[in-house]
Amino acid sequence: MVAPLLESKESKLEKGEPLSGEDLLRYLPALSEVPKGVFTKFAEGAAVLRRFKPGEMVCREGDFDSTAFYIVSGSVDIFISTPLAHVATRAERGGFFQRSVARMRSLLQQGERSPEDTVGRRKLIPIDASVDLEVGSPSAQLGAGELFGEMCCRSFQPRSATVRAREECVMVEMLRVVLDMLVGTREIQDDIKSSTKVKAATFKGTSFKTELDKKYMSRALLNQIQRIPIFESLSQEFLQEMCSHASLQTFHKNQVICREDDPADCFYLIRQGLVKVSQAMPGGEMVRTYLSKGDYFGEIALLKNMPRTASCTAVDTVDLVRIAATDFQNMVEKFPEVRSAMEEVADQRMKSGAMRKFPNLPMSSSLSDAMDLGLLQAQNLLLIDLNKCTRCDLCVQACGEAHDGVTRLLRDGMRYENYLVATACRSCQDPLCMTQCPVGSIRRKVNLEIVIEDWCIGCTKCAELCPYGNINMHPVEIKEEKPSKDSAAPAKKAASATKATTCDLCTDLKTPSCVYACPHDAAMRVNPADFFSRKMPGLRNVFFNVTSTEKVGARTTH
Amino acid sequence: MIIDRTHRSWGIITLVLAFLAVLAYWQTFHQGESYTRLHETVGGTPLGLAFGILSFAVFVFAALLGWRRKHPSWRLGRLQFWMKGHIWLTFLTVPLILMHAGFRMGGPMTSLLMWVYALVMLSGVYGLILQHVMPRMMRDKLPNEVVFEQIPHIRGQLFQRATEIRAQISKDLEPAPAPEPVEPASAEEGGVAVQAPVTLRVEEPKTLIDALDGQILPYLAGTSPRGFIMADKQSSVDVLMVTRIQSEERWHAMVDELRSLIQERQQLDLQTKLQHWLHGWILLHAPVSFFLIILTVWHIVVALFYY
Repeated sequence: MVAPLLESKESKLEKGEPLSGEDLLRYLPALSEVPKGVFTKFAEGAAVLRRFKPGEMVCREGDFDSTAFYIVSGSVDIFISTPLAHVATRAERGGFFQRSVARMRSLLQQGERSPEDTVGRRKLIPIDASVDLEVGSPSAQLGAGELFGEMCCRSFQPRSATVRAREECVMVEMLRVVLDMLVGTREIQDDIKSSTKVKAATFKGTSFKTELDKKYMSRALLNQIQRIPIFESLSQEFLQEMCSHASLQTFHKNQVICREDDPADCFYLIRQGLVKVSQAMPGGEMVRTYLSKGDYFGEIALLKNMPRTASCTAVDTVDLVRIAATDFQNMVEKFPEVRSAMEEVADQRMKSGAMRKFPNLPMSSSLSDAMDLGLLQAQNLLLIDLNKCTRCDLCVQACGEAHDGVTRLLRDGMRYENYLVATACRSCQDPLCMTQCPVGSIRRKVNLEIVIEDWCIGCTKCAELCPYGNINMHPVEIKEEKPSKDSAAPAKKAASATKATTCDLCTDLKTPSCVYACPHDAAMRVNPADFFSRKMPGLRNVFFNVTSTEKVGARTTH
Repeated sequence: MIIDRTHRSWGIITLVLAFLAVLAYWQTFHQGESYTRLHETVGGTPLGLAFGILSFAVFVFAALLGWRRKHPSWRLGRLQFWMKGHIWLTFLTVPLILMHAGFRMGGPMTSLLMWVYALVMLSGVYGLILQHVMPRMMRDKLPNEVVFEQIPHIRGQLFQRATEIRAQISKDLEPAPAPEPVEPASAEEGGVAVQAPVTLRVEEPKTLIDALDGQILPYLAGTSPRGFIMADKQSSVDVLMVTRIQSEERWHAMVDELRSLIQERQQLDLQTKLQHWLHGWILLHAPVSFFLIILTVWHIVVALFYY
């Protein structure tokens, strides 16, 4: 969990050779730009020198640590070892007949498919390093001069990837104070501030940060943009030119990046950090989604030539790549296929924005119960009508069958009138589960569903953050590499890991399996606003914010 | 399963089909002179055969529901559709079978077939009524309903908690640590060394211990409520009330907790009972339906052989 900011240095840097101030300056000369008195006061004992042999593990994905690494010499493999797969408990084995039956079964389970979600499709897995990993082959290399583990050090996120030495490596493992000296102080989280009485020092950063930014702009940015599906058709020359015009911007925690209804002057790409996208609703703020490293925003207003449709706020310190409106317009004019792809995405985003209104509600006792149960904070509820349900559990069985044998719902939960609010993802208005995923594997689709992508590393953060306990961890079998003494190739050994699962509303299918399988019409997926307004007709006007003229129209049409 | 407005179209179609079948039967067999003769062999006529084949097809479709339920996520039409078909088409077989048989039981074989069919239909209707009534009953009577499969686990937890309470009481009843011996008075003063008397911290709550050992723990440990006084709501309230009155005030909180454990257990027992009622009828309906299919196949083979 979150450790205190200035916990004893020894407990965080258990391994390695302690570095004196002079030694540290030898390995990280940029630190000499920090005023000497400050450096001496804080750097002592805040970094160690680590030496790794080829094949030795530096850190493992999902581990909770609070240090960053700077590679002095050598190179490392950085990869995700948890298999990129859905959680499966049943192995597809057997002979020809069994395989054929399995194939037929999978065909039958697919049924009527809904259109693919293109918005959130990613080719890269964002990790806590200067590189991103390809979804198909989540492995990369880092060499001397690279820094990794920055987010882990700053916000105590779990390690996002496993790092293993490729050759003899020397690294500086540092605490946050050294990292801050190097790249500048970031906003300290409130919960950390409250857990310590020690006043943290603030730093402006050194030329090391400028070098990092330069490297990013010259190498990583181009790569990052190219891997976004809608930018695939951009020519290399154009991309280079556009990147040369782009600038980097940093926003601190809770700083508003752009406000709803403000005029649009640029397009943003997230280099690091988490951005909250929200809209003002009659009853308060409605969080559309959280965007993380590799995502982009601000395109709707530029494409449609209209004011900003949502407010974007930095959840923690966020580094953004800012592309000016003129460059953006230039791009969409030159590359019509980019424009059409972006317009499609923008339309989907706008459509989802129009899906929900959250009103100021008058309180009846029944409605107050619904509020207390958090039902109106949901976008999508699985309700079971207890007047009809015969407790046959076919909904649970169907869910398990549709998800490789692992059910994502429990026919248990809170009751509201004669409905059971089953334990299944509610697609909350403010999906807290998304806020600390170190690899961005949990995301919200345009239709507001929450999905956990196959590259989940099982760190359990999302499950801890879900207020309704609707994210479960399931064991999966993995092959873990164990360095062998006699041969160069590491031996593989079966091991167990976990992956998070949550209800994805059977995302590829038109009807969720639980609802499809209910023989008694008891299970239903509902939009709470729509559902409760139908249950309590007097509230309809409030829910949908209908004006008197519209009301008359509605009456006549019905 | 509640037969509501969503069943209307199925009901209408069934009624229309039944009406058409009766009309066809009437037209064929209740006109002219040949009524009596034809009436006896109606199963062998084209119309009678059509009724028979149709009924058998419905039997097969109805039996397939069991298979369909084993694969609930397969996209072969919503299970709700299958269930409605199962209910209404089997209702349709009543006039079809009666007309196919010419309103006669026939020989021993067909009589057996008819009785088995009647049993299947009656058990099905009984199940339908139960499924109509019991979900509401369960909703009202089981405010803290749990997942049925978790009941043994929860029962174990309740017993565990009661055992802890028993252990807590025993611990409180242990003698207080022996006090230091009183300083002996000097021999000159004629005194002798004395040991302070061993005292219990509290009086033993006999009624509570008796209730726990004699009634509560055995009830919570058992899997069936049969034969336990505590399984009865009113008796358990009485026993615990007497226990509470006869215990010192310091034990009242424990008695209250035991009461909530007993109430929870009683609800689990009730849930188990209702669940068995709700699904028990299937144990008759499913095997008898299977037997009906076998008998029908036999009936077809015999009919074809002699036709």
